[in-house]
Amino acid sequence: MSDPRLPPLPAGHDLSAAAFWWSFNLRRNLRKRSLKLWALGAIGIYVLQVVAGRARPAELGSFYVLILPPLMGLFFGSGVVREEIEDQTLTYPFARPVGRHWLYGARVLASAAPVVALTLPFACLAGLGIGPQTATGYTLAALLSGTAYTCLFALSGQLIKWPAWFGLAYLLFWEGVVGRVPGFLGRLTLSTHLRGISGLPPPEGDLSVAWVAPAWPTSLAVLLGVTLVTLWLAGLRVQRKEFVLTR
Amino acid sequence: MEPMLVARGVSKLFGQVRALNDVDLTVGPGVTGLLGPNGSGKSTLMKLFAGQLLPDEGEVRLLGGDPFREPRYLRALGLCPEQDKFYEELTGHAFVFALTRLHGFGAADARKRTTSALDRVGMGEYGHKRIGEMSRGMRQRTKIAQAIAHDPPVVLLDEPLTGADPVARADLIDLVRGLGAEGRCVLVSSHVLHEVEAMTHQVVFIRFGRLRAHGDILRLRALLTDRPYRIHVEVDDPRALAARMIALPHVQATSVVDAGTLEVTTTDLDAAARELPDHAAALGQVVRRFTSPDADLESLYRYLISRV
Repeated sequence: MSDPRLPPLPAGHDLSAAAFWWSFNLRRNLRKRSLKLWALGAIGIYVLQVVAGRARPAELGSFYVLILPPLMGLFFGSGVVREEIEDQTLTYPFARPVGRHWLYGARVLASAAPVVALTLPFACLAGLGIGPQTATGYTLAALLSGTAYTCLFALSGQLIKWPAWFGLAYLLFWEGVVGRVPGFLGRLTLSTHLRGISGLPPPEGDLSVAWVAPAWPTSLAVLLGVTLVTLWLAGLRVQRKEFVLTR
Repeated sequence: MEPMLVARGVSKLFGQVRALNDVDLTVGPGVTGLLGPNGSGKSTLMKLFAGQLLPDEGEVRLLGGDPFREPRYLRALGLCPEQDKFYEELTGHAFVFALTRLHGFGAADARKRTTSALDRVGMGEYGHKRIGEMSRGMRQRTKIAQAIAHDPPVVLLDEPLTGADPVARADLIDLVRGLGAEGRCVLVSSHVLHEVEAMTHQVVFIRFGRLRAHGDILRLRALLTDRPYRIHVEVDDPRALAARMIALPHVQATSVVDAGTLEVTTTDLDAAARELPDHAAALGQVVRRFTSPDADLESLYRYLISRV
């Protein structure tokens, strides 16, 4: 039985606190100078492609679904919690009566939101160049891409000492090379399933003839699964780990 | 009812360094000063009570719950951490408001509590100033505001007076005493002994990660029977009084400090305080002033940290 001196918490407190923490961190993320630079790049590339008249919808779609979200996800996701350890502000949220995994989840999704916000509209615009169905596929793929990659790299930030290097190696080798392989191995990459959702063309190269996109329900399940499992695993890790800011 | 803060057989290691070693401590309502030299384990103990760290041995309880594994118990806690770190881009009001929301208060309630807490620490006028533009003392007060805005029964203040100017220090000392007088359990660490003494007579001494002493300053001092007290007595003729005092069984030595001051070294402060006026009166003298430089916190602190 709880001590009567312990003040009560409202029902559903963890969820409402996480929702508040998400909006708080989103506002903080939106104020970051680095986000403005990424926005400049995301918008600039679209404008340049359109103004130069070289905007091929599938290429633009690939950029806003397969290239920009993982890079941004790596940039914004791998620093989750690590930034708070470096600036020693982690003490404040972790001294509150909220499950750490809720705070972590809110923080990661607040990092994924700008990634999605900067890629989804352009993916949609690129898809509209082909047709409404493609636009829907590109939009959904951009949403899943930004979220899944951010969650994945946020997990790597909890497990690996140098998550940025891991992320770059993962993107270049695993997604870049293995993602071109047809069959089972290729399906172990997120990019293959993002192609399955969006209907983007197969990767270029000698093996493209044999490349078959997975069915979109499978890809949807895989991408959602990766997002949820990485969030859950990292949340568990954060919940159990003690973070020593100063001695 | 269980004490508000409990540490049972707590040890904490950082690699090969044993920051805390088998600490048993209970802290109840009122203000308790946590004292010890740098690196003695004060902040580690605070972090264990705040659920920021896990003990390697033993257990820590906050109102009977495990603050690390059961975060709902942190609803009872207000923590003012040692480090001068903030969300620099926020205003003081936004900072306190955000952290108060995490205690389960709605926006309107949290806003009211934030304003009230900032007023209480003397930051009411400056709540809308960005933290990055605040002086160290203002930052410190803002940090205290976030620790008390949700009205916690337990408040941990790690070096809360750092950076505050003399006026702010006096105000903060009053604030801490007020928190204790309200029945809260306030554990406050500080290096500035006279400030701790102004806040409380209940102290905990830690050195090399071990609990050296815990209790009322005067009682602790009285327990240290192997170390006599020095008393300074201001009278007209210290030599005459010295001759009478040296004959008393509890007086070890007397010496004349100056023309009007006698130093008496005694093993029994109470007896000396009782008997001295009579002896002075017998000589036709009046004791103008009676002080003991060994009965204050600083003396006790020096003595305790000098013992290995």
